[in-house]
Amino acid sequence: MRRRVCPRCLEPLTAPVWRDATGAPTRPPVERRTRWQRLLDPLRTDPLPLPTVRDAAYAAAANVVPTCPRGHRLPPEYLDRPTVVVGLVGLTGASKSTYLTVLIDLLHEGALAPLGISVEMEEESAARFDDHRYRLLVQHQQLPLTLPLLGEGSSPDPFMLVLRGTGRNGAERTVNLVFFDASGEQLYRSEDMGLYGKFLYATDSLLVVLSPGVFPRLRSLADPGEDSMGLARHTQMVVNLANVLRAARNLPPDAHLDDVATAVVLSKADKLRGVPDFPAETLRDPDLRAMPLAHWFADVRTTSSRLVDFLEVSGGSNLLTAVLHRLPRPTVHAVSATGADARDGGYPRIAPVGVLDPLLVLLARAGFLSEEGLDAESRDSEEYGAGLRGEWSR
Amino acid sequence: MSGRACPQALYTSASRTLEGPGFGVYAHSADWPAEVGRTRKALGALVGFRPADGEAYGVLSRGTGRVLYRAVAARADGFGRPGNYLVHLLWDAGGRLGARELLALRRAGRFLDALPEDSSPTAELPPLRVAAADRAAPALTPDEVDALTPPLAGLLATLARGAGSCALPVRTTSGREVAEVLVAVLPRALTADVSLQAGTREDDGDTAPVRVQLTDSPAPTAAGPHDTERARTLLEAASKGELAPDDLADLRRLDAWLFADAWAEQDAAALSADQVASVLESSAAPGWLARGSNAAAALEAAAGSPAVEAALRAAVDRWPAVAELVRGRVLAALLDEVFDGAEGPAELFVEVAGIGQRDLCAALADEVRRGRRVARLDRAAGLLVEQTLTLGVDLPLLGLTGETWELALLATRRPVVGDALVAQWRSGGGWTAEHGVLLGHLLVADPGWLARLGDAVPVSALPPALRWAALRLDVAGVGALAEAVATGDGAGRGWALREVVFGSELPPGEVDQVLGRRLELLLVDDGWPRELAESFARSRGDSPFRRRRRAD
Repeated sequence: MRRRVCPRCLEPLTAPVWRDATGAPTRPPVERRTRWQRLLDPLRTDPLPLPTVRDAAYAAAANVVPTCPRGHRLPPEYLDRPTVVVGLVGLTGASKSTYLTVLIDLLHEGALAPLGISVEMEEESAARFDDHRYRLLVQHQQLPLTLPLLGEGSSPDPFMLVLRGTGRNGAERTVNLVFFDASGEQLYRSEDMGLYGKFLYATDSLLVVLSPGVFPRLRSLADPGEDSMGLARHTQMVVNLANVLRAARNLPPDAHLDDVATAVVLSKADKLRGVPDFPAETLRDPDLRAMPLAHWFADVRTTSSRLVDFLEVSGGSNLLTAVLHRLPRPTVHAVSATGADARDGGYPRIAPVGVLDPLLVLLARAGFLSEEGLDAESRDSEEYGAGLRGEWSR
Repeated sequence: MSGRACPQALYTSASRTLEGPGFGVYAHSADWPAEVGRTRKALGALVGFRPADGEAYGVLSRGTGRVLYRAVAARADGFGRPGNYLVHLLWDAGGRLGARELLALRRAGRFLDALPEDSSPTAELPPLRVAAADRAAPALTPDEVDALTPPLAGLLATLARGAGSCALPVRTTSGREVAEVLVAVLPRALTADVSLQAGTREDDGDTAPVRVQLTDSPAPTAAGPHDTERARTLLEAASKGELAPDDLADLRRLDAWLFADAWAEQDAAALSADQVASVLESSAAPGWLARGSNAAAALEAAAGSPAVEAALRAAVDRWPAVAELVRGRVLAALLDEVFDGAEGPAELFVEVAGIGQRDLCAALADEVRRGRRVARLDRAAGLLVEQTLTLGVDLPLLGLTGETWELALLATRRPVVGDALVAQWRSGGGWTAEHGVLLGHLLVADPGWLARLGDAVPVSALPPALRWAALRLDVAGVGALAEAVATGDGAGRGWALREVVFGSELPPGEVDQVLGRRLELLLVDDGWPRELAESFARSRGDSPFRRRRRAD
């Protein structure tokens, strides 16, 4: 929200460069409607004449597009809106891509409509998303693995959405919501994060995705391959991530971050339903029509606390310590993107649960939604994580 | 199994790799080169692949070595996720393996399609032994020749440029694998610096100057008519079971193999320098050089084309008939220069023909014997004559040149020439007018010739020669000649006075000078008794004289 960045190259920018169809820089198109026109238009009695061929030719000639200084095409009016950059972080097989696909699909299906928020997707993102959606949500097949990037200094192609809502004063509020989904292989070593995860330097919202199978006492739930990854690797990932976030802001390793929020997604939570001590009620969808958002956020705080307790007794205390102390403003959410395990490369059904929670929290942290109810009374920034833990641990 | 032991590496996504879970280097040989890369980051685009493509393979250059690879979509990884792939890489440090081995390995299924069962990540993967691929002439129908000609022409055009990239179709419409045919048809040495890749690749650090990309719908590479002709001829030859030798490393040599016989039907004027070089490298060279002015044209072309020069040198070494022919041409030109003062052949020609001093000297003598005469016996020609005689070549001096005075001077000044002249004079039979003329010139040059030639000169021939010489001598010369006559073998005949002194037609005062010097000697020669002659001479007394040469 505080900085404008190109969603492709993540370079900060203040004003777009307009380019013509050949890519050459050109002057911005003339603003066709002025505020005076807006006032005058209702007074018109005659309908506007139909555009002639000549008008169409002029319009085509003026078909310039805004770009970043490096030439990356920007979505329409991109710079007119604040941007929330959401980075998905998690090791290989954590279900990041599956979660993101289901989340975006839910957004398109009007999950935020009870809050008066509509969702649009940028054209190129929509084309890529459609492939994922068709495979996962129509064919019920597992998504292919996310390929690591091989060019240094790059970032994965983001999914770009626009959220439009109505503010308290009735004015329209819009925000660019940009998701980066990188391969887990390159989110472990800090060197790789720097070389291939440039989005981590621009992100202001983190979705840290953890699979339950990585926790020592939940190994029986591990998917194939997960059991080969110890918790140490995840802890190291969190520590490296925390360092990268601070390094990106020229802050010392232990400095407080007040412009970043973290939502920890405990993915594949449907497998936890049969586990003793698992607070099954934490795996549910918010009924935004029935409950005010502030109440829901208060509930999120409670469920987060219970999930932390559960994960600690599941052998994840060290990892949680790193999460709560090193990552900024964390909440923990139980999520099942598909509602069931994949078998032979496919899902019997797609029944997502809890997918929306983490995003709601991040949007609130970013200022797009009200944070009311989300934080406890005492929110001293230095003790934020520890404070929550104490509350959750009671 | 013989062959080259190539370090290999495997890259895929698995629950465990040498780099951790997910995509990473799964295994590599202990001697897999670090400079190529032992990690995903270092390997970079070498391990990039889009599984939807199904398969990608290629060979590329990295410095002096070559990387052969094949990437293939693989079954779900250790996490059960689809979209996995496996890249199998081979390293040939010597850079001897090429596209032929790549395709043979692929054909034989020696690139892995999946990780071996029960395998585990290792940095001790045994190297793969790769033998040089066999080469067999592909059986091609006329339609296939037609279909394969444009892609081969495009590749040949790129090879001719020396650098660049060329897109080829993976298969012809009849299903023939284009790369398989082309690598069989083209000589190995010609494609040694060519990289080949099938499938989409990012910049993978390939250092090969010529890159071939196999795609399903390539944009045709621009090729000239000659490239097309090359391609068609090559394919037609291959379809008859004739393959260009593998050691043909450049297109000129390939052309020589392909077209030399046809070009040899034409004369040099219709051929380019490279074509002339090709003909000279072929077995048609002797016959072609012997025809018309081809030899001369080839020599001219050699001056401006290193390729022709090299080919001509090789032909001279290889074919005795060519050597003889070129030698004859160059020697003839050299003799023209010596005899007629024509512009001689370039030094390069002489070097190419391998003509030495002795050859030229012997040829010179032969020509003289045949009656040819040196038009101008200048300093250079004189040196050649002297050198010829020094080498012991029997060079006839009488008849060598029409410039008798220059010959007389040369014989007088250069001992070897003078000695040879004396020897030939003595051994030669018969006295001719030419002898007489030369004798006269010799006597003008040096009266000492009278004594050197001695009885080799018939007595009857002496008086006219003496008179001829005396007419051209100054006072001192006349005196010296008269003295030589009076003291020589022909003394006592009065020729010193009558032919030389009086025959000189000097003014009376100058005759008096001559007479005043050795009058008694001249009188004795004229038959006077010695005492009387001495007494008479004393009574005249000596008088000084000045040497003076008269103009003719």
